[in-house]
Amino acid sequence: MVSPHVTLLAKLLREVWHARAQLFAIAIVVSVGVMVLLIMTTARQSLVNAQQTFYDEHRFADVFVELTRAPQSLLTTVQELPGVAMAETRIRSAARIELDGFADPIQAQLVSLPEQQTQLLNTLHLRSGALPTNSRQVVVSEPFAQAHQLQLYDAITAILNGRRTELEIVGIAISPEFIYQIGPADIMPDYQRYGVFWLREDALAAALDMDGAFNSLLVKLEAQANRAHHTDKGTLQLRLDQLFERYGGRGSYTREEQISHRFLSEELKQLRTNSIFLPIVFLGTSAFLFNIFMQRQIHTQQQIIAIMKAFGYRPMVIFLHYLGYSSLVVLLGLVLGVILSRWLAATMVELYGTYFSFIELGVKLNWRSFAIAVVVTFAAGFIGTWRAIYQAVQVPPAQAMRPPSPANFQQSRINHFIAVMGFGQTWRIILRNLVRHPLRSTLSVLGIALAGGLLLFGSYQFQAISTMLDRNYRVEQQMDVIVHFTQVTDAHGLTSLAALSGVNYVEGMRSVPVRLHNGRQLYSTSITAFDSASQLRQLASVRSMPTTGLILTDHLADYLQLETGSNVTVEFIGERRLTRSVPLVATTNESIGVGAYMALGELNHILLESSVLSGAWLLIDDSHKEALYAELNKMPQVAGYSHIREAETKLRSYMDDTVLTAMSIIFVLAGSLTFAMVYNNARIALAERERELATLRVLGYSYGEVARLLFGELLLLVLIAIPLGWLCGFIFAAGMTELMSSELFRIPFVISRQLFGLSAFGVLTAALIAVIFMLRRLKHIDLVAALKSE
Amino acid sequence: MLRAEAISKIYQMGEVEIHALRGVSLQLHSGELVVLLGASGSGKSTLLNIMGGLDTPSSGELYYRDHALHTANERELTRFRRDHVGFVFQFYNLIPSLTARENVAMVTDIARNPMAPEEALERVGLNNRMDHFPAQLSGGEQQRVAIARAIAKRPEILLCDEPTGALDSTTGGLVLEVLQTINQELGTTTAIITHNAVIAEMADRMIRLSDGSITEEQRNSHQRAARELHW
Repeated sequence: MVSPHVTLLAKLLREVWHARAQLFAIAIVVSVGVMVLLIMTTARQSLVNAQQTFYDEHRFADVFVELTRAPQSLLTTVQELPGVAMAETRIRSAARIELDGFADPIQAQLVSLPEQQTQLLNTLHLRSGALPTNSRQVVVSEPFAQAHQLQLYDAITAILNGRRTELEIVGIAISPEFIYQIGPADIMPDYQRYGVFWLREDALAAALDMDGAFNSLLVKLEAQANRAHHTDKGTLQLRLDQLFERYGGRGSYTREEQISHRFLSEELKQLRTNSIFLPIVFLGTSAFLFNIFMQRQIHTQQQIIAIMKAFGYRPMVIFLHYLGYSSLVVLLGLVLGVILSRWLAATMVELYGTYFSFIELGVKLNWRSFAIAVVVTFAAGFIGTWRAIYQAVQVPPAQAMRPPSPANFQQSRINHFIAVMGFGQTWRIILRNLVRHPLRSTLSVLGIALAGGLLLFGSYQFQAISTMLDRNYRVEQQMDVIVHFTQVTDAHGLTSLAALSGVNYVEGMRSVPVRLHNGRQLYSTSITAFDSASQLRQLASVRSMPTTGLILTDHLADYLQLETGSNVTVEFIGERRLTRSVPLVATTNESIGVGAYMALGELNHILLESSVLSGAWLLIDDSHKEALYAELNKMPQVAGYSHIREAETKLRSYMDDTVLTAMSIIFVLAGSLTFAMVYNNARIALAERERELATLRVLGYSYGEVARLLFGELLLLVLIAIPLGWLCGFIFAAGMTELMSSELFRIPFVISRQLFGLSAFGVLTAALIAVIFMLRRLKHIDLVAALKSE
Repeated sequence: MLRAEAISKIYQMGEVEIHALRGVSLQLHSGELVVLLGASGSGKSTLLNIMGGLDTPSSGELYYRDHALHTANERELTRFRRDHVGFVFQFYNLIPSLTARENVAMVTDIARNPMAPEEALERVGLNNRMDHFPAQLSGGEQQRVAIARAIAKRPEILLCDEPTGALDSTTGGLVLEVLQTINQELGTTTAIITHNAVIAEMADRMIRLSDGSITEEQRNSHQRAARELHW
């Protein structure tokens, strides 16, 4: 004798197989939610792990001090300060690099390596080669080497303090200090024009006259001091600042202000936002839809349930049986989700790998997220199954096995309204059906709306980002080239630039490094000062540039907890060191980077200087670009220059690679979800209405007329859902905009009519495809069987 | 009016062939009321389905007047059902979301020369239940709505598949009475299939089916009124 469990299992498997297309579509809904969660958390986890490993294994410093020149003997003093676990001195310097066959200027950061002992902090991770053994050897940062296809033993020329030095590449390495390798004034990496180079200390000491001295200090804190946060670290920073004040110390700073760490943290913060917000939206939606589908799917089995009950199966056994049904769908969804998300997460992580140099970026599935996915999807299946079974077992078996008594329509105000509105019979059927199942109709509309909302949400960033870049590079920054001088200069500096061939227009500017304080809040940046009547620089949302006071990016003002009208303590940390309290007169809502701005006259007035410039903005004739670059390269007063269009291209490709790749994935997933949602709705509606539709066919209604009845309902649901979907998408997008705002950029909240159109188009297309699928099924309804069945 | 010649129907059920009809020939004459009698599995429903254009025969010929139905395609069969045939089912098959009147209108909307839904309902004695939904009507009333729906298009043929099968004797009698009245007043050719031999007493002609073949055919010299029937 076969055990009843085996029989039930066979029934289960056969039914699953029979409904495979539909269950697969439901499994897609589950997998989409699972995928979004897994992709985002896995990508983030692998970056966090890579960062942690790199920091730990290569002892990334906790506190940094840059100064002009201090004797080596101070190291002992630093080492004895409470809370200091390790300290190391070094020499850093900016330089220019020349490479054969590359005309553009290359900015370099030179960093010394200890001669005698091994490096203690921020140690290098050699990808190939070895550390330098003499002063003519150099280790090159990996991204730079890759950008120029440099090999070991290639030669490069460094120009340091006006002296040209030939160096031989002996190693290619990465460092925890330069995971995100960008030039001091950039926001995007440019591996061709900026690189980091490590030389032996004696090489740099000789060139910079730093024998027995250092200009950069790294400190690793004792674990305890690091954990105790503010107080201990703050005290130590204060002592370091005091200690180095007379040596030109520019103030100590922590990891949080270290440039590479800061960018990486911002990125991780955004990923974290994504990995919480997106999964909530997607997994939530998919769990919700799964719940509805499972419930309706099981509802179509009502008669079989009645028979099982009549045979004496207990409701619990029936429930468990159908729980197996929904669990199989969940399992399929999970397997699909895990396989696809592993692959997509790896793609995403790989892209991050091109912007952040880690030792290794392993992609390991985030098991905690997986556990969440399992719990949420199983719970959704469980609840849906339970509700359906609960409803089914309430009906006495005898009643359920009889052909269904007519669904309980009653004369009501709404039904009367439908009657008097002059709708045809078809529409009366459609409307009464929707009205009769208010919950089901609402859930269907809500489901389609959520899917449509996700489509809108998945596409809005594409446009928002291009709007952001357009604003920044077409309206706010209209210069072609930014030139930085080696030393501050007066207006004569501009005359010589204006005289260059290909230069159409010149405007002077000044940039000074500062630290902005407000109470405990502190931010290191630089003030960019320019003429308030500048033709090349506009501040977003600032109508006319105030001639006095400070202007901050609103994001920075928020960070510093400042309101317009209040005073900011500005600590100038450049050549001239002084601290002033300056009123915040306006904020600008520019969307890329954060900055501080001032009228040029005002800045020079504060610094007690007359018209002093540190750089210039040029409008150039693009056809003379090469010649102009050659001339700029020859000018001793030009420390460097950058072409703003190149920066724009870099930023655009960064956005394409990171944010937009993620959003493309989201968009495709939203599309699949929309289709699965609409398809399932139509499929289940067909199952529920088969008998009614067959009756109409028998009465002489044509195939097309019956199809209209079935799809009229779908169309109506879709039409109600579309505007609701816009609302959902609008809310998702607004939430995302708010959460995604970071120092690097704040995506403006722009949703155009096209996006609303796109979302509607997506939903309608999904509906159309679902209808085509359904038409085939409708054609094959067995009229006789459908009349006898149920 | 409807002529079947040597109709066979073979269903392929997996690997088994089921001969539902084995060379059945019969004619329905204009205005007559025929009762097709048979046990379950005798092939009577299959025959009715084929005559009504719901199914096609495996072999044999079927003519409605001079139209060949055995070669008709889906579209032509739909047309035939729409214009010429009224169906009454054992389980009524009303649209639950429509009132009695609207259920009838469902058919009059697409028919060529229908009577008003109200008239059809009056004929089955439901003039004061027109705005009730199926759920608010008794079984007998629902079946009468179904009959009203079937006759409202003034069909030439009315096919009834166990119209009293789900009803008690009294209510069933009432329904049959309606069918008889319609047949007499409108002259609609009516075929009723049933396993209940008593019902045959109201027919002009009784045809007995067994195992897919006609085993007996008998003309009633004296038709009994439906209201006199009891079972």
